[in-house]
Amino acid sequence: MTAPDPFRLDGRRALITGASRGIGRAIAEIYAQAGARLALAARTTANLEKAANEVREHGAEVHTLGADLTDAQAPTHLVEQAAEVMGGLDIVVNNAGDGGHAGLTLDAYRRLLHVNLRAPVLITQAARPYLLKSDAPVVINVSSVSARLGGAEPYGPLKAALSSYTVGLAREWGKDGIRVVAIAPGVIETDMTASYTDADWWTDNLADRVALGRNGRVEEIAGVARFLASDAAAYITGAVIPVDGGLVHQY
Amino acid sequence: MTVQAPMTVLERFRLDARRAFVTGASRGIGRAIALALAEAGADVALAARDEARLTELAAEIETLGRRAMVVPLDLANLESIEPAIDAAAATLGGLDLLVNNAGVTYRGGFEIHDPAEFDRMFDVNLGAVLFACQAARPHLATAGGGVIVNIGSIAGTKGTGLYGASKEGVHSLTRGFSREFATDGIRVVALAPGQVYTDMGARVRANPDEMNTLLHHTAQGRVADPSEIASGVVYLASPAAGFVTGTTIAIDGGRDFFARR
Repeated sequence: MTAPDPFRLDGRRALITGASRGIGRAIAEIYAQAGARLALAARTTANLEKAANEVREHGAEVHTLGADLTDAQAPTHLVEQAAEVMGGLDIVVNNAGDGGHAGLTLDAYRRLLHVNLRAPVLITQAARPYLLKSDAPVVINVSSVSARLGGAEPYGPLKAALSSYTVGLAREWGKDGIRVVAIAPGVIETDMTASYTDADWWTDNLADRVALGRNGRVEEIAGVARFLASDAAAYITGAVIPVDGGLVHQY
Repeated sequence: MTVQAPMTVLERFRLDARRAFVTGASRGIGRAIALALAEAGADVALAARDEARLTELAAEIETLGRRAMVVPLDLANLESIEPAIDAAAATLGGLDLLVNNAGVTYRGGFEIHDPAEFDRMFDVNLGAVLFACQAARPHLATAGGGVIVNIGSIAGTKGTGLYGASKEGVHSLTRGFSREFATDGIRVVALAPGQVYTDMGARVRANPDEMNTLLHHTAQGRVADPSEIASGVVYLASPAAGFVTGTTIAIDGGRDFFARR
């Protein structure tokens, strides 16, 4: 008998938010390939069902759950549903986010606060009792390079808050064996970043701004998310891992 | 390109005739900042909820020969910030300096049990800073470029509960605004205090275990006096810090995991 592959996720029960497209969907795909059982959440269930059907082609067990994360009750309800359909939880991926758009209004600030920070915190704390029963519990928060760069819209500052939460909670929950980590993607080609990645000022200067001279692909975030969820990353906690092609190390 | 500063080094630390707006000015660090700015030569609009304390502080500032203005303001009410800043600028004849100091603690640690309480903490600690920066920008630009000093916290960097998360948001916001506002000649900087002797820190000081841990991780093994934070604000607000923007400066007595054995 060969030793188990530490990069596999066989039988692990994962909840992924924002799973209908972009990075969340790519994480769902790679987790399915790695053998995980999945509860995929998104606001718009039509897109989610389509994504789930494609993920099922890898032979994975996939549940779909609709959740509007601007609602204060939705996160807790979502976790309870996910734990119920899968009989527990091992991996929580807080991926859902709202990038907002130019111009700061009170409504936009509040929506971004709720989706980008309050929801992940509520999901994580609701998941704690289930994670305590898991053999390999991990919380993965999808932060952003915007946290480091800052931004006049609250997106970057709220991602910075999520990174700070990740670092602190890892310390708090370490004694229970629960790992808490974050990924800070750079500019990844998704629907959310299209206005950015298509803009001339960005594309014309890519080589100066990104060491690798190109935008990232969702699979390149998903690969790191798989590694972080797996036993191969068993000694990683409290880390915020930049996956940005060398975006912030220029100059 | 270099800029010649035709002043002596100590003159470059002065804030003569600058017009400042300080939030959370009624006590603690904010009160010390308001007094220090006045001592350095600035006129100060004092914003906080406690009008009685602000009135006393205003009188104290006037004995220093500077103008002081009381601005009753609840920073959790985000819509009230822009009108308050506009009114202060009108009364003082402009605005050169905004100090976002107001902050509240959070009892929930890393958890949210009352979403409204969480929202309120984030609104005061982060939302109010966002909206105050936006509201102050045109006034600072009109004054020929001014300075915004945000009071963050070492708790942000260290990940100390959701309070720390809100303060890390302030550090991030500072970096973002520093780029955006530079086109108007406005500098945006942050200070990250460690533990300071204030009313807000009283709960921590009353807990010997928490206090021991804290001092154990502080090279100097002590708590700061509010005036030690205020000195940093005077520096950052002054022409002496003319090439400083976007950064967060820690004033924390050497806070580090390996500070003391």
